[in-house]
Amino acid sequence: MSARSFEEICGYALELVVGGLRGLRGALGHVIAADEPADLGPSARPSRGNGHDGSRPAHPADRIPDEASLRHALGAAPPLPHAYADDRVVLLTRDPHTLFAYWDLAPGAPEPAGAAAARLVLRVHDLTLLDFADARPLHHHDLEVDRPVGSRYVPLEGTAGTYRAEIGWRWSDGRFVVRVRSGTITVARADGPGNDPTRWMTVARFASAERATTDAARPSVREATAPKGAPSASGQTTAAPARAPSSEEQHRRGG
Amino acid sequence: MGAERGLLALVLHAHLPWVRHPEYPSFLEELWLFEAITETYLPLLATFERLAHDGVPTQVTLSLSPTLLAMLTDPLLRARYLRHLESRLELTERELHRLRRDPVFQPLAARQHAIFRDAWHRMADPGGADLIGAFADLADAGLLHLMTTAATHGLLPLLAPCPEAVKAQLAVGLAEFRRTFQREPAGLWLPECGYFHGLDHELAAAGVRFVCLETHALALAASPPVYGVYAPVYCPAGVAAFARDAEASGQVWSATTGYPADPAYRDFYRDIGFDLPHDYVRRYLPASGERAATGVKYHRVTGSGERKEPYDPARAEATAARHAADYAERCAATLGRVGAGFDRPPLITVPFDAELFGHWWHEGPLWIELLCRELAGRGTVRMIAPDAYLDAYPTNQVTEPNAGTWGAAGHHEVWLTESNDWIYRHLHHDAARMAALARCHPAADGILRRALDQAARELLLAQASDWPFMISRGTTVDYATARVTAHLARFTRLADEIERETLDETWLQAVETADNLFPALDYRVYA
Repeated sequence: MSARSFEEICGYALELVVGGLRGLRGALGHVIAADEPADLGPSARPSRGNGHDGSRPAHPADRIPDEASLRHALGAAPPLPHAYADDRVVLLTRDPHTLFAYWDLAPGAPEPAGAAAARLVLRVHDLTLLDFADARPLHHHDLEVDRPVGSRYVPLEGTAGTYRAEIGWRWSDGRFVVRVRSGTITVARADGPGNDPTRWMTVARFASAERATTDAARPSVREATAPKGAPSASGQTTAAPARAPSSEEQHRRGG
Repeated sequence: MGAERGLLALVLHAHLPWVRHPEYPSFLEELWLFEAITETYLPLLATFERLAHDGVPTQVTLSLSPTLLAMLTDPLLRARYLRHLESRLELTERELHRLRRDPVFQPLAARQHAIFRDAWHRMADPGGADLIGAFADLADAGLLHLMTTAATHGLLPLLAPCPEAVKAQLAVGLAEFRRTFQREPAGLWLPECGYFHGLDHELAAAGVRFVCLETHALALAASPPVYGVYAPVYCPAGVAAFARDAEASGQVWSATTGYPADPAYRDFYRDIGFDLPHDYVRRYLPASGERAATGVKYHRVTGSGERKEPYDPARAEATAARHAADYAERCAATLGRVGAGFDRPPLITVPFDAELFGHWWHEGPLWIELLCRELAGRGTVRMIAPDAYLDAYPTNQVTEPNAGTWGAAGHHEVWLTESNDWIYRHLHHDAARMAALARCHPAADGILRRALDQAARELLLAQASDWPFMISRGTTVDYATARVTAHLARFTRLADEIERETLDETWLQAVETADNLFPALDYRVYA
């Protein structure tokens, strides 16, 4: 279609359409509440399946301020604090080969004697295969911490392990004094299933929401024997791929 | 009817982040909900209603996120949706006139107009607009098995350093579902299928019966899964885990090799908001005037190039029918192959974002309808919901699933990367602070209670997995960043005022008005 013919059509169309829409708007006006802010309170209209029955007592928020005053009240968000000085280190797993550690060290915290001669380091312990508290970790590696608030991605040599991080002072003779310690985290497997023995379980049907909160009504969970004819782990008949095509390969919401 | 070879569990997860801006007369990002209602939720409802009406024996599992439920029942958003439809009706009326002598495009404009008109008629009618009630009716009919997800779709593995945050996400999400539907959810959709070691104990404590996980969660479990991914396992705490079947998912999910890429289907990106002169479409574009999609699309995928042929609905419908038959055939073949040696029918589990169907893939709802009919007619593959499977097969292998998500590369690479990792120190700090506040005020009432409840709401909203996703994918980065920052800042101010006993009721009311979801929330979920 040429630009000229398009403009001609548009000009003509606008005349017709605007008139027609006035009629449409008139016809729809009784149900379109956009111009009726008094009807736009937060209490949900009762619905057939909606347990929110509209009987909630009048709430102060039901009085809707106008847009401008609401916008003024909410204002622009102030910047987030750079630090909280809560003296901590936190570990997260990014993937089976990478941890993410962040730390936030409080200024002025007590230091051990001779700290000036030590370096502050992030020490990541590999606790894999340790099954008792306070056991000496098998492996660790250190990364220097050059500022009191920061973060690092930490590559791992192995996967499927359990890790914990500490920040502390390390002296040249190898001494190490802990300042803060993270919780432990378990990293996913990447290369194959584990070797745990095959076990079976029978779970009875869950009770209703209310009843499920009482111990007596919790589902019955018990060990079971393998169903007759079930395949064995060694004779597994269905190999599952280690990784499926991810949702990222398709379009996602929000974009 | 052929002999039954196995089972298919189709699980759809409908979710949008909470986007509601009463402080502006209109807001661009509210279009996400409006487009999803028009293109996905209403077409899916119509699909399920036709299947129920015709008595097609099928089961589909539908997860509705708490934030989506809150938006679908919000009067302001409903009014704005109707206003949006009005605008689209106006646009398509103009299009009908502009194209009145065009035998190819005029019917396409008429088709678009009919879509908006039908949506308007349903949503303008108080009975029809009750989408929650409609979903509940379909659940009562046994066709839909309804479930939900964590309160604001927080990615639980990355919230785990503060256990109270995980518990609150689960408790509030489940409570909102129960309050909305007056029934127990069939299971729980883990946000992004994110699982970590030990999460099953929290799930069991919350009363969750099953979750869906990524393929590698079972393939790399603590013990080899004897059925592969073709049966669920129980986590050690007794929660069942159904793993996505990679092949069956990819056939639908993949943007390059899946069905949606077929040349006959409607093209998602080609839209008159980009094609027609700016002056003509400007009033239907964002206030900034930048080009954007209007939802009016006249072309088919055609191929990978720029040139697009006009959309042919009849050809697209025939293609959807062919793809439904193909999928039924593929599922039957897979189940026949993998089920040899099983003591039970093998099960294919295929979880999808619901918005794939209709929004991204225009013919998706039709494909689901045709697939359900095809399977019911053939009898070789029976559709089943995961909870119905567990009723029939309560004894399953027990193992600890592998940690991971269904995101790119299978872990947290999307939600924890250089562009968005700054979020987590704030989320963890504030969750710990919220827990301390809840323990400090075990029985607050009056304005203090309101402030504590609102602080919990703001924290939950900041935890949504949508924000780091958008930031790392480079889509709407400014908006996602602003949302995280705003919710955390509101939380901080509320917490400061609570601690200092200097509550500003006017400001509190403004925040309650803006973020008014979860009216039954009790801040003590953090205690």
